[in-house]
Amino acid sequence: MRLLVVEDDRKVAGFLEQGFLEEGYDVVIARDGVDGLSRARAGGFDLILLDFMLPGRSGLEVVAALRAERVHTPILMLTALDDPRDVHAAIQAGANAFMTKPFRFADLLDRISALLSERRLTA
Amino acid sequence: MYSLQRTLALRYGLTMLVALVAMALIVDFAAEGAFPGPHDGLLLRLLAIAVTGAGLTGAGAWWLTRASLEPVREIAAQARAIMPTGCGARQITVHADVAELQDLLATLNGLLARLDAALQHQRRIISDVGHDLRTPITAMRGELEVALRAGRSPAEYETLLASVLEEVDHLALMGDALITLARLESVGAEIERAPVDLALLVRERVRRFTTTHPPSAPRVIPVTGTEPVLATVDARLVALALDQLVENALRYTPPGTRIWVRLVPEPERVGLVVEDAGSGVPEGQMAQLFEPFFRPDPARPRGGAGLGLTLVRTIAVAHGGRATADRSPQGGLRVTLDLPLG
Repeated sequence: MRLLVVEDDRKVAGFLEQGFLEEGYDVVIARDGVDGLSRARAGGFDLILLDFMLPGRSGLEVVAALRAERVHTPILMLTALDDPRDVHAAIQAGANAFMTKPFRFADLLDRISALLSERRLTA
Repeated sequence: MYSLQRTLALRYGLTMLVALVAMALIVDFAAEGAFPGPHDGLLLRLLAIAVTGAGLTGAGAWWLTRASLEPVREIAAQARAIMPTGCGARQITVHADVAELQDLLATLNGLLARLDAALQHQRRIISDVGHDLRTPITAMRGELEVALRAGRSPAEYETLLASVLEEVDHLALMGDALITLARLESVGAEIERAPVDLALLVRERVRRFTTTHPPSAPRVIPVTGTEPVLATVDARLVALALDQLVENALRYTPPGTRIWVRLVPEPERVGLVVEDAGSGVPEGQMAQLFEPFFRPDPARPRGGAGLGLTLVRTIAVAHGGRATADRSPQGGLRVTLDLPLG
């Protein structure tokens, strides 16, 4: 399984990469919205983990652009904000799920497994 | 409690009663002089008219005062309905266009607008603090949790502990900055002013940076003359502001370049200027630099508390001065802390 992690914080991206690699996932890291969007467009990912606040293009813009281009890879958004309007905007834009920082890594793995299972069932 | 409506009604009524009784007595006296003979019941009738007139005047005054005070009651009812947690426009309006109340209305609406702006500002800061607290906590929590999922080598644990320590330092820095800001911005906060030689203070603080930073770090150069520059300031706060300015410049200036710290004395004021040869800040973002948690380039790594320049501005204001930012002739950023000497 191949994951794209779009996260600007060096340390958060670092532990996510290490944790996913140790769980057997193949991981690609993008550090800003522009890089994340171009990598997601190139395809080949089973799931995209996307931070809400990103330099270049925001997570919300990345989701909207991907869905407009009919890229249907599941997107799990991460945010340090807790405004319900952000959650609503992300889901409206086409994100599949949403997690608020700080989160338990184990919970994140569960959410990813659930999204990947859903994808297999609908494929 | 004093009631304007009741008092005016009573005063008008009593005044009218006294006037009418006096008139009744005068008329009765005059009638006796002009028309000698019996005047049965004239005085009594005149007094009855006086009492009725006074009563009617009091009632009229009651009604008039009540009608005049209606817009005030309307203002009070709308003010009571304003909730501090509510959002959106908060303006008080009255149906009657009363000229005498326009000034009061404008004052109240101005106060409400200022309170609303302060509330929005406070909410944004709380949201920003939440965001900036959650990110290092996420990093620490994630690093610890991932590390505990498998056995690690001593070197890996050492790297982990160093990383967590860095985040703890970051959070401590943010906590200190928030406490200092809250103290300086609280009502009645006083600073401890004393005569200080700012030239000496600058040289001492800069020496601290040159001894604690690696040789590869940008070089911090104090540009002060040999003459003392005396100012009556809170030395601890001015040193804190200077530290924030230099640390900020160090964070955004490439290794091997220079940071200049200079004093610009004037007859009444002194400018404490820190400029660097870094990449600078776009002109359109200069005004936002002093806002809490503003970062011109979000892609840069976290380092400071995100409150350094806000602290500088607050310290300047607490001294009756100001903080400004512009492009340095060296190409980077120039921040000036402008302080009154006395």
